[in-house]
Amino acid sequence: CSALRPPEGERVQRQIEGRFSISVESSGDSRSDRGSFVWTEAEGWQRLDIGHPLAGTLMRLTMYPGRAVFEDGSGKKLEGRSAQALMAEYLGFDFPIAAFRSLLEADTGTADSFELQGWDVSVVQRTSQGLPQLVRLRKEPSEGSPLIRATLFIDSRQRYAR
Amino acid sequence: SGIEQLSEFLKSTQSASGSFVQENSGRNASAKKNFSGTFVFKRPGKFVWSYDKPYKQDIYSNGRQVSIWDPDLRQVTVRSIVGAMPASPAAILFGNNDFRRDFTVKELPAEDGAEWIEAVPKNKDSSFRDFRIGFRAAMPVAMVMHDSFGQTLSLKFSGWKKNPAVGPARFEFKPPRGAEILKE
Repeated sequence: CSALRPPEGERVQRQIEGRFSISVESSGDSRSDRGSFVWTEAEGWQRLDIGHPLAGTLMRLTMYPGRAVFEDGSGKKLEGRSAQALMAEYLGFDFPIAAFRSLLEADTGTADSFELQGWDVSVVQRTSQGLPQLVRLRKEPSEGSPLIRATLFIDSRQRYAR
Repeated sequence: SGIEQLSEFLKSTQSASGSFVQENSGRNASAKKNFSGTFVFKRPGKFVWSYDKPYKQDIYSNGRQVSIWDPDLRQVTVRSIVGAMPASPAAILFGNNDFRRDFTVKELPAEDGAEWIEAVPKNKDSSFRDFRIGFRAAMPVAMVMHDSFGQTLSLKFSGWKKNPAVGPARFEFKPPRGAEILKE
């Protein structure tokens, strides 16, 4: 069993699950993708799983202090200091990782729109408890990087007892 | 045998509809989830796979392109069928029965009153390591898949209607007003 994989049974503390879409537009060409996500936080690591109900888990990004590991279903594995850089290397564009983390911590006081590491974030719909549920993100094109638009819909938030 | 029932299913069932329940489970805490919904298909390659629970999501294939409609995101993603869902349950069961070209198939012992086969994708890019399909009366009753991250997807099928008349329009998705269309 790979030493990089968090030991099973590691106490998961918090988690959000949902669905997303992302579209990348540059010089008149656009491509998009969509799927489901699970953002998990435990002592010592955080993890973003991306997949689809019909396809299982397709890729996994595990973040440790100062180190990140990216794996896809075909066995490809990337490792580096920055989770953001690893995802950009694999996908070919920026992925709003910080947004997942912030939406986990978002509370009813979260503004309806704010800026987050270069992304313009707008909360379009909230849960009955006032928590962000449907969120649209936009990253304006800049020196060679395309316009990126992402949509996140949070299906569930889970807090596990310590 | 399972393989005989698979061949019979691929040959004698040119269209069908039914319901499914799906359970995703795995080693890590995030894995356990239950889904349910309905499906309808017509060979080759036309199908509608509709999730009703825990959320609404419809996957349409008209044999040329796959449209995934998500009312919560208010978006439909449209992509070519080529490589859209290479080795997914829908592609296997509803595809154009060149099963042996895409999978290495082997017989498994009977279990739960069904005859089983194991299918391993020849294409190593598949997100699943293997599929197991259980048959009764030449119809799939269950399917179990293992992905590369230790997750297991188990599907149970019921309420089969075999070879109903289904027109091509059934497999065409028409986006509702206000829906955003994201092209591949």
